[in-house]
Amino acid sequence: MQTDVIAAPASRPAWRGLIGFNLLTGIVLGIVGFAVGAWLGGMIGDGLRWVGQSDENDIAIFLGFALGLVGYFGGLGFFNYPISRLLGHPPSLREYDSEGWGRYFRMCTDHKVVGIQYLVVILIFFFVAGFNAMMIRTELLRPSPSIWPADTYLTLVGEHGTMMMVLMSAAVIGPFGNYLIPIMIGARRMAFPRIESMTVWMTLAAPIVLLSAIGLGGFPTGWTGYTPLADQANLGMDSYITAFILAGTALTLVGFNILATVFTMRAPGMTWGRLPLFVWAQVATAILMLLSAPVLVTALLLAVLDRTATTTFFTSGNGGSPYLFENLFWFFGHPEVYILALPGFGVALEILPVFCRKPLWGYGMAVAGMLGIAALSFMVWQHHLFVSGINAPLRPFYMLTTELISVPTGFLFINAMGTLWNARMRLEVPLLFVLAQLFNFLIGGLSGIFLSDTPSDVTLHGSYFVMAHLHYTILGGLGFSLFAAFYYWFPKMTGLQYNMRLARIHFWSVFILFNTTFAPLFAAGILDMPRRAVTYASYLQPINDWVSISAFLLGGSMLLFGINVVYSWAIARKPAVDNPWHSRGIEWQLPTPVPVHNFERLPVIVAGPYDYGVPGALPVMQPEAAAAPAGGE
Amino acid sequence: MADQQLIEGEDIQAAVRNYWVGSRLWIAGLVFYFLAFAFSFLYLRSLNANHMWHPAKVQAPAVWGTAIVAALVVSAIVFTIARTALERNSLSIWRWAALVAFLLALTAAALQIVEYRELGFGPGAGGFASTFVAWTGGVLVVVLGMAYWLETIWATSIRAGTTLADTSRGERRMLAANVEGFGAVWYFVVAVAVATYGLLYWVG
Ligand SMILES: [Cu+2]
Repeated sequence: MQTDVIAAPASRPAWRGLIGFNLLTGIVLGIVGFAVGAWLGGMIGDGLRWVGQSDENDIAIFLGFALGLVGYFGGLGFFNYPISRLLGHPPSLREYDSEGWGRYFRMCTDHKVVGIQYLVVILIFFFVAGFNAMMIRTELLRPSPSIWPADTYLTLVGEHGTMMMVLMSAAVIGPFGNYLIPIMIGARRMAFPRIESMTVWMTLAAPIVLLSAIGLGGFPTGWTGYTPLADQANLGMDSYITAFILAGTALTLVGFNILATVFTMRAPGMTWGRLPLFVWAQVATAILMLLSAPVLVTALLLAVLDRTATTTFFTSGNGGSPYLFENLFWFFGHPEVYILALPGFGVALEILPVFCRKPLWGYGMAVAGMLGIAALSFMVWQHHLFVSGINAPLRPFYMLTTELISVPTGFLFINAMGTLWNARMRLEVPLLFVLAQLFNFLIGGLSGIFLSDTPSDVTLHGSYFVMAHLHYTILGGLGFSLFAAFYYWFPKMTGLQYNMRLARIHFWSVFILFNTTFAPLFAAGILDMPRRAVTYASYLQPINDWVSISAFLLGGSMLLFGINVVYSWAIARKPAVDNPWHSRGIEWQLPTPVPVHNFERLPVIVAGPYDYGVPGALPVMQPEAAAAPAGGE
Repeated sequence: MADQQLIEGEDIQAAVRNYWVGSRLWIAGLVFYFLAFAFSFLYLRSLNANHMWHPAKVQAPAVWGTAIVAALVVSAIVFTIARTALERNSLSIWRWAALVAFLLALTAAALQIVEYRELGFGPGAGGFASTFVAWTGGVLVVVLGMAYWLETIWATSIRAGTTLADTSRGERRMLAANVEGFGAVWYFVVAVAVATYGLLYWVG
């Protein structure tokens, strides 16, 4: 085993540890790179007629971001291996699989370290974007602008929306997917561990780049970046575009890596029919990521060209069309909805049998549901454009395909109901969150039918009804599953217990307050309150004041969660037992903390993961099998 | 197992399969990347907003385009020779042919950059002009990435030793898998370049 490759001798002074390829170097080189790029871009822009005539030089900003990112990734050490390959050094599988604190602040190819890095990044920016939501709700206490002018308010909305979309796309698949997929399939690593590590550092850089928009005059488009507004917007738009390109690239790479891993790295006996549903959900998500995110990246690259090189993709006066962006964006944007939702269903179906103590009901149906959702989600995107003036005869097709998606989604609900049927549930915190997730997603899904239906969408489009709908699916569905996953796997990932009382208080407060915050917004939408507007009609003030106060309390309940995380992880540090939930999952059969390379010898899988309460059920794996080659069947 | 080949303590079978699976997945991702350009082309062309899709004075320079695509096609053919040579263990042919294939890919990239300077119209001269610049640029980026990949394979085989006998069986299997994976993606990219050429220079 290759451990402790770079462990420093104990005698070295502590500051020496800061020198080398790590986050600190990455930040320093990132800033230097930005400065060089912005200066170069300034020089280039001065020589160009169309830049010289305006007072804004987008070339300088984009070049600054580009070279800044080169410096950042170079400082983190991501160019070392590509350069050594350029010089003909043989391929290697991994590096820096060491122990110790330093590995969390550098490129590390241990998938468990990457999982923890993801978890921390997501939690930090979840609170930043959540704080943003509090500022939005503060402004909306009054029907006319009271704290911020309209453009600042729009920037707040855009920052909240974009940051949450970027984070939530990685919320389950990042921390839990990276940590658990190799273990769950009986492997020691991901197929491409350096790419895996790179995605987490992209996911850290994206929200920081996005936040830089505040210093560049903000951006007015919300998370969707619609043209021609985006073509006309000031420099802050460049931050949005760069951040989303980063996120889109990361999504593509995550999808690529997960698919390769599950295809090639499964342990002997880990047949497709024994794959845990958590892994199946990540596979379905990975397909969406690999195929839809490149379209987003291309669309944003075209936007870069429009803003820097005078191309006219998105301005109709000169042979372009804003609909081109809208189509490309939603070709990614609708699969994105399931990139958000599917991992959450994976968590739910993984956790349900453990706490119901009975086998999962309808394994094959669940797999069919997930793959069916993935396939259909590429054929629905124009339901976002029903009222945009698209060719009207297209509408029934997109209405039908969208409504068809409720069939495979219904499969997953039937799986959950069948598993819950006659179960003697153990109402632990993870299960509570899963039950609430199903409840919330049901409301989110049913409200979606009204938006997929063209006649009702004509009145509801662009209103708070849409906003309530998407928060029910993303926060109420995926967000709750994120909490379920956290409370379920935290003892495994950290080896520590969390405060159970606080967790229960968090559950009940967040469940009640989530619903009291977002359910009234359906009403606000039906009463014609438009999204992304700083003003609203005065008769809507009682609803908005109620929602704002409820939202503040919801934010407070999230703080309880934050306190629990920090207290349990950093202060109390009470060791957890190895398998507190008596789960059959492979990850729970390993010692805590999980050894650097997971398995001393590769396991042989001999049974399915959900045979709870089945008489004579075999344990899932034989841990000390002969050293056999990795791979399926 | 008697014939177990290891790198860094791990059986190479998974790594070998990763080349195969990874290259196919990469193709799948690239399909959608190029699809976005193709969609832009077809969409803007059919809308022809303000009759500004393709003003008559905008002429894609077919000579340069032909040269670029020819370089790519010849690179793919020479690569096929290199790959066959490697399968037959004739290492010196592999080395020269792989080097030529790599240099041809770079030549195509260089010709593309020259073409931008000789274009005769700006990227703002309508929908076609915009799409032309962006799509050829999108191909250019991928070609450069593929050239990098081919160089790493070539350099690895140079460094690995003067004769194949110097290398271990495991290293040879890894090399062969890498070459196979690269080939799959390269043929795909060259095919896309040919199709792009047809649309941009002839359909317009
Ligand atoms: Cu949609």
